[in-house]
Parts: sequence; structure tokens; C-alpha cells
Amino acid sequence: MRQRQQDQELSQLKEEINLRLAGSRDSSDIEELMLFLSESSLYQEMKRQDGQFSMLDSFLNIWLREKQRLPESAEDIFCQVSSLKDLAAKYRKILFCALRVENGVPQVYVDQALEWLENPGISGVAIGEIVVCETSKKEENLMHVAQGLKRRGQIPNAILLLQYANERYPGREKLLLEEADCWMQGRQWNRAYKLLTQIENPMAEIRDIMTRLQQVLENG
Amino acid sequence: MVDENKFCFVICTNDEQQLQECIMYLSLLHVPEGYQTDLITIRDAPSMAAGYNEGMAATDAKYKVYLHQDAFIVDQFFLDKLLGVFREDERIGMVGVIGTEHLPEDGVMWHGKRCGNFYRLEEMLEMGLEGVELLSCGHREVEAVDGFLIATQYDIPWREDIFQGWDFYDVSQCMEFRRAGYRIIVPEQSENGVIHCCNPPSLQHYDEYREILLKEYPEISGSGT
Repeated sequence: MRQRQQDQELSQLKEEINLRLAGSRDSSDIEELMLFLSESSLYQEMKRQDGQFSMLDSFLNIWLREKQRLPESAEDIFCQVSSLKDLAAKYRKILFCALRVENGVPQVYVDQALEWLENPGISGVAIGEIVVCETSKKEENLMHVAQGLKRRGQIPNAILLLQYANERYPGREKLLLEEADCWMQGRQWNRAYKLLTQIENPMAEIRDIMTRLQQVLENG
Repeated sequence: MVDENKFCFVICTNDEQQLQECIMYLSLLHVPEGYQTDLITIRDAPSMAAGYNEGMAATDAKYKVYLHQDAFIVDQFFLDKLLGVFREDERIGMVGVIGTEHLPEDGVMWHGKRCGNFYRLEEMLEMGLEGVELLSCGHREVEAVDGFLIATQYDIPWREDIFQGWDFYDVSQCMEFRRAGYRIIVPEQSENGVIHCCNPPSLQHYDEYREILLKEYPEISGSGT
């Protein structure tokens, strides 16, 4: 009996969330949704047990991070999400890409999944959060996806992902080098140089790059 | 006429995105020499048992792998290994990925000690997860396996007459196999071979079917022995 009542309440709550997602236009709608959910004891109780809720919870965390990272005008994780079903489909695009990378499927399938990440509102922040949350070889996978994005010309998103990675795993040489390389591709010498200075005991090759960057910076 | 050299994957589905991902991994599996594979998808089945019966009837394959749409087989040599287990002993009727040697009296596998492997189990064990034994060598005979992947080499009808939903159809099938005298095995999985991207299940009707299970198979709770 209690179970049936809870099922009914759960359905009602999902309907309400769907309505709010369908009607959301800007940040204030998402903030209102967060407030609404924080006051729902059922949501708080079920957010780790219900698949759709756990994905929604993850999106809300991503959204908060995106607010700190993305420019005001950028498309956020809730872009083109009008229901919990849309949300799950978007979540799975990132998850399935991460799993393909982690499990070393042939490159053609990794490329196919990387293409999914070029959809509106899939930021490097979102990719980073889901890769870290859902996979085992986290650092390796973050690097692999970032390299894939870079290869596909998605430099801004690759940078966002690597910034996320470098915050999460500070001081990792490979991640710092990769982000520095992205900045260099965008001729942002100062950003690249600053990243390279974070590498402890850099190899001669890296020291050489730093010297050259320093010269470029000094020569304006 | 049963085709002794054929595997058939049977998948009940209601989500194209998950199904396509599942199929992508199936397409990457190594197929043992002389064998072929088949795939049957049942869309919007009225129940898991009904869908699986439909799939079972539609193929002549000896070996069937009943798979959830959100279960991805990542071990390329899964079929070779499966064949190895079935060939070992013709009394082995069923193979699963994770199972329990002693099904708890309440019929809920997850309330007992389990063995096998699942995605990121090692990580979870390191974090203190209890009740699951990583089976990295040797097979283990079990009483029940989880339904996200059930492989069989014999056909026994799924009990769609009493399990008309999405719960306990797997435990029921295990009981049917054991009643028929077959062994159920969880093989060693030193590396994780199957990812179950499961959405936490809806518990609607869970207790209802649990009660049906215990009534139909009194041996679970000990009252039938």
C-alpha cells in the first residue's frame, strides 16, 4: 500500500519536473527548479535510487559548475532538454562516449560518439563530470576525450574539459601539456606558458618550449 | 531443429538509444569458428518473461543470451568463454555474470552474498562494498543469477503466466532450471566483461512478484523442502 502511494507520488513529481523543464527558458527557471527539488523530501529520498533523478541531480551539479565557467550567453547543459527523457538521452550520449573510450572500442565508434558531443549544450564541464563519475580510468579517459575533441577542431570544449581535468587532478604533466597545446593552437602564449610552469621538474624538451614561449612573450 | 552452432541474443527493448549501444558492443564480439550469431529484439514486450518466450520461439539457436538493453558485453571473447563453460558439463544449463550461492529466504538475491563481477566492482570493493565476491578464478555454482545477462544452452519456457512484469522473472527462471536438474554457473571474470548501465529499477510491483515467487517456489524460503 505504501509502495503504491509512493509510486503515485513519484509519478506526480516527475510530471511536475517535466512541466518545469518544458517551460524553462533561462537560468532563473533552473534556479527555481533547484529550489523546488530541495524542498521535495521525495526527491531527496529518491535521487540516488531513481535513474532519472540521479541523472537530473548530476545535470544540476554540472549546471552550477557551468555557471562558474561558461560565459553568460553560452548554451548550458539544460539546452534542448524539455523533459526527463531528453535529459536521460543527453546524459547517455556522454556516458556512452566515455564507456567507448574506456573500453577501447575501434576508433570509428569512438569518433561516432565524439560527434554526439558536438550537440548544443554539451560542454567540456559536463563531459568531465560524467567521465569522472561513470568511468574507472578517469584521467586517461579525460585525456583521450580531450584529444578527440581537439582532433575534431573542438578546441574551446577541449580546453574546458582539460581545465576541469587539471582542477580535478592538479599537477599532472600530461594533462597540463595537453591544455597548454590547445592554448598554443589558439596562439594564447601566455596561457600556455603559465600552464607549463605548473609542471614539476619539466623535461628538457618542455623547458625548451617554455624558453621559446618566454621569448615570444617578451618580444610582444 | 536446433542449430548447435548458433548463438542468439534476445533483447527486450523500449529505448532505441540503449539498444543501439548494446548492439554496437555485440557487433564487436569474436564469434568462435564455425559458429554464427543471431539477434532478436522484442519491442515493448508486455513483460520480460513474455518477451523472452517470444524470442526463444523465434530462433533455432542452441545457445541463447538473454540480455538487458542496458547491458554491454565488452569482453570480445565472451562467446568463446561461454562455449567453454557449457562444453565443460552438459548439466550446466545456465550461465550468469553475477549470482548467489544461497538465495536468501526472502527471494531477493541482493540480500545475500553474491559472486561474479560487474563494472567497477574492484573500485567499489576498495571503497568498502560488502557482500560481493569478485570471482577472478574458477567457476561457482549458484542458485540464482541476475537477469541483466542470462545465457542458456537449453530451452525452458519463462513463466510469463505468473511473472507479468519486470521483477523476479530471472529468479523464477533459475528455479525452473534447477527443478529441471540443470546447474547454474557464474564463471570467473578476471576482467570485467559486461557493463550494466542500469537505471535503478522501479520497485513498483516488486513485492507483489516477490510474494508470487515465494508461493510458486516454496523451496526458496525453506518451507518446501
